Amino acid sequence: MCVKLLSKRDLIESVGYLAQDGPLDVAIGDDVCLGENQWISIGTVTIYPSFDQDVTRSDDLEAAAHGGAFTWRLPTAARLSNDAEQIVRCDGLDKTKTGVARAKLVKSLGEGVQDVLRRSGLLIPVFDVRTMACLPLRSPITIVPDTTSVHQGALDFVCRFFSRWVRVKIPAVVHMEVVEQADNYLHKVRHADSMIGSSRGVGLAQHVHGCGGQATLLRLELHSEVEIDRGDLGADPLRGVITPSSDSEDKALKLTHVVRSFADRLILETARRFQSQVRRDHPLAVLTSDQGMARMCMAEGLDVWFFHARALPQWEGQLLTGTAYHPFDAAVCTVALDDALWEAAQSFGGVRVRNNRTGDHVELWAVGGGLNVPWQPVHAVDGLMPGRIFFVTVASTLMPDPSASKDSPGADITPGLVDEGQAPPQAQIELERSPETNGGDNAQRPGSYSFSPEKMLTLVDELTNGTRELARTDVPNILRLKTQDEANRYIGFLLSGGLAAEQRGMIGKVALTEDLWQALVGVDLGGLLALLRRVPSFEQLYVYINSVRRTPKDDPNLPVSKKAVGTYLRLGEAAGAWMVIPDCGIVSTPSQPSLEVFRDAAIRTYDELVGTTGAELVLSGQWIEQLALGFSIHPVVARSALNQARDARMLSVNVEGSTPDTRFEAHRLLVLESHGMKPMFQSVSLYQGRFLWPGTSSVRLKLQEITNAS
Amino acid sequence: MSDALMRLQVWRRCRSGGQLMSVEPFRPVDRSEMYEEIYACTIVEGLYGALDPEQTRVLHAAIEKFAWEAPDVHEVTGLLYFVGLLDELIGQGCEGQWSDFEDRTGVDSGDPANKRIHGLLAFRARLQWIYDTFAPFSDAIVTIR
Repeated sequence: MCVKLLSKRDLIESVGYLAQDGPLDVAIGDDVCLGENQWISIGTVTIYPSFDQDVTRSDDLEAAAHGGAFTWRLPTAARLSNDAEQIVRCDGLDKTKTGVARAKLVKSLGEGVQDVLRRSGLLIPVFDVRTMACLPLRSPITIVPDTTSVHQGALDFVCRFFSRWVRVKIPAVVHMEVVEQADNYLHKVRHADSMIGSSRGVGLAQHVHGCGGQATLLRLELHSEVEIDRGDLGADPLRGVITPSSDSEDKALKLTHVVRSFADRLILETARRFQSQVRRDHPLAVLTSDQGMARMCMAEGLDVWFFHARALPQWEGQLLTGTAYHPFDAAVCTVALDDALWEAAQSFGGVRVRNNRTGDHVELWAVGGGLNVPWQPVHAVDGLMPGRIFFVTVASTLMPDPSASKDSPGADITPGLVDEGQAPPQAQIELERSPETNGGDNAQRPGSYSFSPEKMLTLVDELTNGTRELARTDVPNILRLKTQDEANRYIGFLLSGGLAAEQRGMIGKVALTEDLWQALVGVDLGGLLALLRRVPSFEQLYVYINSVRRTPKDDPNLPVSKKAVGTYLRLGEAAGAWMVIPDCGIVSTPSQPSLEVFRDAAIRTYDELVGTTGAELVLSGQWIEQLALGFSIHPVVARSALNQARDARMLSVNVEGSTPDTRFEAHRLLVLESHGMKPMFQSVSLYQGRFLWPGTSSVRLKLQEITNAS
Repeated sequence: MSDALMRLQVWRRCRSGGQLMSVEPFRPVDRSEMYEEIYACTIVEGLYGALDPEQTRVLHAAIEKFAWEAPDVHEVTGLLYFVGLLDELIGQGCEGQWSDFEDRTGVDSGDPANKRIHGLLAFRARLQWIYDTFAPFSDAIVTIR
């Protein structure tokens, strides 16, 4: 059995892959409190990608899941309770104690699920009306959270929606309470045999609060934009009382144990001490769901942001979605499915995402699961968690065929190990995802990619002329992209056409990368088109457009996804494969005519326009578009051929007029240019004279065939 | 997407101190007739994206009951009816009710991200949250415009 450290990226790729065969069951596991190999379902996730083709593709599902386009049907309270009761060990306990034990486990489970959903943003906490009246914030404020706000998602809510205005001061006692809860749980891990009866429920609560709380504090520190303030060392009143003392009176107070009400007092005093260190008019509020704490703060003149404990909102049986309207701004906010699953794994110990139809699943384990991968700080910093990916069956028609050539589309996950003694397809096959097998040399990837052609030039430049190979994670910085997802589209496009290679997670150049760069720098449209056609999705589009010759931009049969159409059309236009004419659509332009053929086509088109308009001088843009429509000649080819025909004294060209017709502003063409070994795409107006004759503004032309050339 | 913006506001009776006077004619205003906004949100994308004309009409009719000029009392409890109506519209089939939108969050330059939203489900969740927050307050009212 092979265990890997999985990133969120790995997780969501697996989820996208699993979702090809339908909805996914999400279950949580805890080796100690729930028992080994015991899973409790916490809902069914259905992903809704934007389908543009008949075949559901894992990359569409992956993007949809990461972008929040999913629903999560939560289990009813009865279902959750029933599932929990099935696995509670109550050997030797009487009926009353058994009931108590089950009730505690169900309560801990329900609270834990709610906390995970609120911390991940799928649910949001319900605040006091007085607090709501202060929102949204319009000036900075310091928030002092108590432990409940860390556990129950209120601190996440504040950081998610008000990170620009909020400074967070986390009292030391909050950290200590969280660590204590985690320690208590880990103590139970070491004495798991004694975990019977109600101690399972207690242990599960300690697990969710301790490990979930630690994960929350780490996440906010390492991966959020919120400003977390730290007071001077020694400033926290906790320090003076928690130190062990030999004094008998101090011992009698048992202050080495953090008493809950005393911890509340320390949080309040931390807030008051911090308030004394900032200017008097700087607002500060304690964030809590504890009524006693709130009353104490108010009685001592501190502002309180109060939210309801777990009673609200109602969550059992609800249908949640990853895209929601921002509670205060005119915007939509999204929750990535991978973030929610990650949170569940960190809080409960393990999470399993399973396609019940095929049995395929992926597991993540923060604690337990028999993975034996010791935690290291790098896991928190880099966002890694031990896990394993199983594909129990290979019978699905949508799964990549392990026996197929690795050049075949869809083979982006390659089988790693096959259990001996069992023959496929019934054999259990564990697919190990590793950098070597994930998009290795010449791996062809399915799907189409949406990206900025301009930024693609930068990436090709960096690959060709840079001094080193690029890690995937370097690409967002180089291209100034916000997410790794966006970067993966650029990489995916190049890898799918063999225009770059990936080895051990590093993206490097190949001979075709240099060819691509030379074609771009040399404005070699033929060479560029040939290289683009190596990308399977581009080739499909090229073949389709050439077969229909002319089609609307929103043609539902275009063989690339809707979101990628714009990218592909721009690339193809710049490479001379087609042009897009407003009100006409996409027009195929594969023709490379000889000068004689071009001369005839040019004159015939001109004559037709003269016949239509009745004017001797016709709009040059109109003439260019008619050449494309009638003779499949690309504007750049027409421009070059026109100049050659004129130099060869085959055509006489007269130009006139300098006032562009504003009706045709939308008639533009993406053109590849190169300046000082730097290729760039320029959008030029076809109806302005400088497209045909740089430096002039003549918008009309008159053509005559020269018959007596000598 | 080109959905019209919808502004949802929650009001309560004015609690600020001091007397108020109207501009024309000059006369003191009865404070008990004044409401102050305590919460507002704007619904921007995809609410009607995938509805058929009849469903759109039903949804419009429900929204208009919360319009400022509507004769009904705009109690927060009325949101429960609205939530129930949305549950009916959502039904069992979520498949066809998703619509695309461009997520420009944090996009300073370059391409916005193409994402999808289930407008009805997102709107339902927001209404439920508003109901949970304000329902205990008898003087709170809701308007949508």
